[in-house]
Amino acid sequence: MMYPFGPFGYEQTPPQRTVLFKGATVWTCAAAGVLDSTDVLIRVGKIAAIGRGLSGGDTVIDARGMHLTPGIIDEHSHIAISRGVNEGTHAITAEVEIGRVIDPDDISIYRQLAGGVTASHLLHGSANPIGGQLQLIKLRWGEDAEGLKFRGAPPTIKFALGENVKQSNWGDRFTTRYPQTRMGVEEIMRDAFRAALEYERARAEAASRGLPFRRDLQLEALLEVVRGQRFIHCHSYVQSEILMLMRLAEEFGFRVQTFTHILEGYKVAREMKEHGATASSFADWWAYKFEVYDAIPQNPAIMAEQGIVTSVNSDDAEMARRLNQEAAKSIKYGDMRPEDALKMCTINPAIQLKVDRSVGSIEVGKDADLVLWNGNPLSNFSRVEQTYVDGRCYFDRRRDAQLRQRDRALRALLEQRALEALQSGEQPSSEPSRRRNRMYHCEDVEDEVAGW
Amino acid sequence: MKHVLAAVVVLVVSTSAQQTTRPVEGLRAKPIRYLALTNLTVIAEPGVKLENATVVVRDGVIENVGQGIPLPRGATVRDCRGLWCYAGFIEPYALERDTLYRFDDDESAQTPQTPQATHWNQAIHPHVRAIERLSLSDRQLDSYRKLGFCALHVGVGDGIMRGTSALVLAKSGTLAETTLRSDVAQLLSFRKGSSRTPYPSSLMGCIALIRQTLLDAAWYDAAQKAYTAGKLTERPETNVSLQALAQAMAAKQLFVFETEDEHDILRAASIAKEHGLDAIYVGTGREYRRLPSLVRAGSRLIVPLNFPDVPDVSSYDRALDVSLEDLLHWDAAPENPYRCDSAGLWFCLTTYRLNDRQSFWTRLRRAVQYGLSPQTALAALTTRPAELLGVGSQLGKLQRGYRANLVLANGDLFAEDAEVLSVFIEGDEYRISKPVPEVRGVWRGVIGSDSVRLSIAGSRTQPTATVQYADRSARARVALQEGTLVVTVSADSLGLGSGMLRMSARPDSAQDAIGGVAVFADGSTRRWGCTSHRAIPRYHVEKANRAASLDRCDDVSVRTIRI
Repeated sequence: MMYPFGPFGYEQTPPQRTVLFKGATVWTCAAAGVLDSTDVLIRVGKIAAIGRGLSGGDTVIDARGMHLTPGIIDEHSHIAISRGVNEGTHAITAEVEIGRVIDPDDISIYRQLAGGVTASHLLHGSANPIGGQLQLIKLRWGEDAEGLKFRGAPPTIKFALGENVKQSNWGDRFTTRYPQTRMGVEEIMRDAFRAALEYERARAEAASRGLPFRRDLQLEALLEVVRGQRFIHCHSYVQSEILMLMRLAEEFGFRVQTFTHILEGYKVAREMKEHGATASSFADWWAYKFEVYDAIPQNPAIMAEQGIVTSVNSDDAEMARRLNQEAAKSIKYGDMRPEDALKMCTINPAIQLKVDRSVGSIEVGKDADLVLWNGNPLSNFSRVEQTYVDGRCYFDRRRDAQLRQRDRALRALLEQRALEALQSGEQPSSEPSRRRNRMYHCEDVEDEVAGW
Repeated sequence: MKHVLAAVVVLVVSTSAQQTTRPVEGLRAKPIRYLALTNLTVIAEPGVKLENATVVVRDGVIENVGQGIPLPRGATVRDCRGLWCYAGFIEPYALERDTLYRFDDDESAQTPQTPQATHWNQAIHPHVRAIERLSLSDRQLDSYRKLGFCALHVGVGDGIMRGTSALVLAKSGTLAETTLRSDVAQLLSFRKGSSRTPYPSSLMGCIALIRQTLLDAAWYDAAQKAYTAGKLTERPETNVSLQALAQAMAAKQLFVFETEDEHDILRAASIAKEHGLDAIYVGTGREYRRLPSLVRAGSRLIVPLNFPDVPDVSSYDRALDVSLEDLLHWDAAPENPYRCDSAGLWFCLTTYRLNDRQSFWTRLRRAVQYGLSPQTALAALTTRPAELLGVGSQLGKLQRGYRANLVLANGDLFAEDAEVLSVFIEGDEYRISKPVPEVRGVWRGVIGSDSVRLSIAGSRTQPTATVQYADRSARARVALQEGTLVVTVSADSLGLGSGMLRMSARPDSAQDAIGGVAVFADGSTRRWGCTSHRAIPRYHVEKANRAASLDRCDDVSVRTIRI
């Protein structure tokens, strides 16, 4: 048996070996900076030692000439989600949870491991002002949905601003839902926060008087937001709205954790810094609708320069395979130091997701989520040799070649069996392939549960 | 031969087996409802086989089962030599698609309102009761009876919370007459059906809506009580949907979740665990892909036999459209029941999700070939669904005091291409089809005084034949007409005169012989007869056909012709 039961499925969970990387260029993404000819030892899924002349390890990898980096973390991903990335039917759907619809069989998981990604923050789409609860996963290819979850990650939620949420480009049928303007977006959020606080009061009162109380999953999630226990990742483009949300949060005494996309972030970087928000942007993806015309490729570099913890994200199953290159673009456009550029897809997203205590950098005691590159990780010409999650080698270029061979042989064998069956008169299937291999984006709004 | 396959179900004696309030029109019927079926191979329950046994049925109930029991006075006795008898099968998921909502094409409304005191979301209607909505046609019932199903767990297949199911007997009559248990289970799915409420549009929305509704039901009950007692000033809404759901939860009713893939089972199981529901999951045949996770979740399943058709790899271009995952699933799917069983999962079997329900037995035998034990398969059709649906002491076994639901077959249904001949539902017999006699093999005998040899091959229901006479041989057309074998062959090519020669015969099971009348072109007749020479063991017939030579098959076995 292999998990998933399809291409590149693993017959066994990769073992948690004690591995010694010898002589690598180690990008720690921490205070130690980039270390030449350095050894890194991992044991029981953790980074055990960093230094020169280390020994031990059941597996010793000659990593001379190679580069070792922390695993890439994607702040904004829509992979591995079953049947709908948006619950965009209501303006507020804080009750829905991405964590309940993880699809562990999505081939994107494997493809992204091959691009050095070790953790992905699975986002609800941007069809409504307050979307669903989000889920951080580690790319433990082969595990079931529960096994993918990043244990101990603080809860997060999707907010969204702008054209999508006021249904600007949805067509003539969508003209009645509140809000239809950016002003309305602010008002419905304020209304929701107030309702959450009222809910808290009513719940306390009912408890004190021993009266029945209607639990409301939506208000409970919103209350966590207002109480600073659930962190907002907000889809955002336009400066006025970014200011609006920060001021609204301050009115209720909490902070916006991360503005995602944030293509006009360079205009309001100072205010974001004062508020304590972080930013996760595209390197050079813009002009796909009116509100993103003001984007500039210097945006991440400018925000980082202003002291904002800045990351680059994918919002796209394909782009996620090369987030290292997206990060590197800021060297070209914004004269960013290479070390800082790499941090934009490692420790910075870890900080934004509040998991930087366990992942995002190569430091003793952290999770052994590592990528071994055959060259400088910021070069277009470098590729991933191995990707480790929790000290398990979930991608290995040589094993990948073997798996391709295995799958080719498997396919040939099964095609022969199918031909024999067809030859003996069995009916060929008239149904198309079952798996739709859907790659979601933020704006995908369709009914995935209609009909029977 | 088509008429044999498209079996007609005939109700032999129509009676009622329960007390009813309906006025009698015309004369009262008072048939004898006392029947002894003798010389049966009885499978009293999975793993308990009684040879030469008798089943006594009286007034819709099994009065006695066993070997060597005295024949009761006054009972009709039927010799069932060669027949097998099973407890009537139970279909655990007979969903009928009934559309609850019909709307005009106004798509602008964001949230269409239902004016009654029901749930705000049209996909949520736990108050809908199958016994108040469904009408089962005889045609639908027939399609189950032909397979041996005597009881059906029926429900309305529309929406996310679909309402309550009922356990009904698969016999003709109103639901008032045929229902064994009403409100057996709450049915749920992750599909909106005919609902026009836009929310939810995603799987995660479905899950959130189900969870919130379960919470609301728990609250509803308490809030209504508190309000009536004057403790609440804020008046809680009146809502029959929540009321019904609250009752179901309080009564620990079964919750049946229909899933769309193996991961859905885990999703539903986490809802069930969170709300303390007694749940079972209707699978997709893909369960084998995540067995360890399903076992960890402690899931009980209703497993379909929807093995996919062969992926079309007939040309290079078509093969490009077939994924490796599809090929793997096609190859592994028939093993799904076996693998579920080996992993220790508890499951019932269903005809649900089959495009052609009548392919059920072919598929089940395939699952048995792929390792599923016949004993588990039988339990998954009898004792397990009976226990699941709360009728373990009435259905699922051939035992004294149980409802007289029986299946008569002309062989072991799980091993060979035996057929269901009759089902008895509360003692009322529905005859399914005449058995097709096994005539394949090589026969030797005489026409008049001359030697003749008859080789019959092909499939059991569509045999082909060759006649050899003296040193000539000719292909013959062969047909089975209500148990009579008719062989038509050109007399010319056999050197037996001109025109066509018709030979008809009734196979004689006792003598292992075949014989009858041959009619020549001029109208003259001669007797003919043959005895079995080298019979082909039936399990190997298909293989032998492929080998293309009957004589190469060396196995010789004793033939039994069953009628």
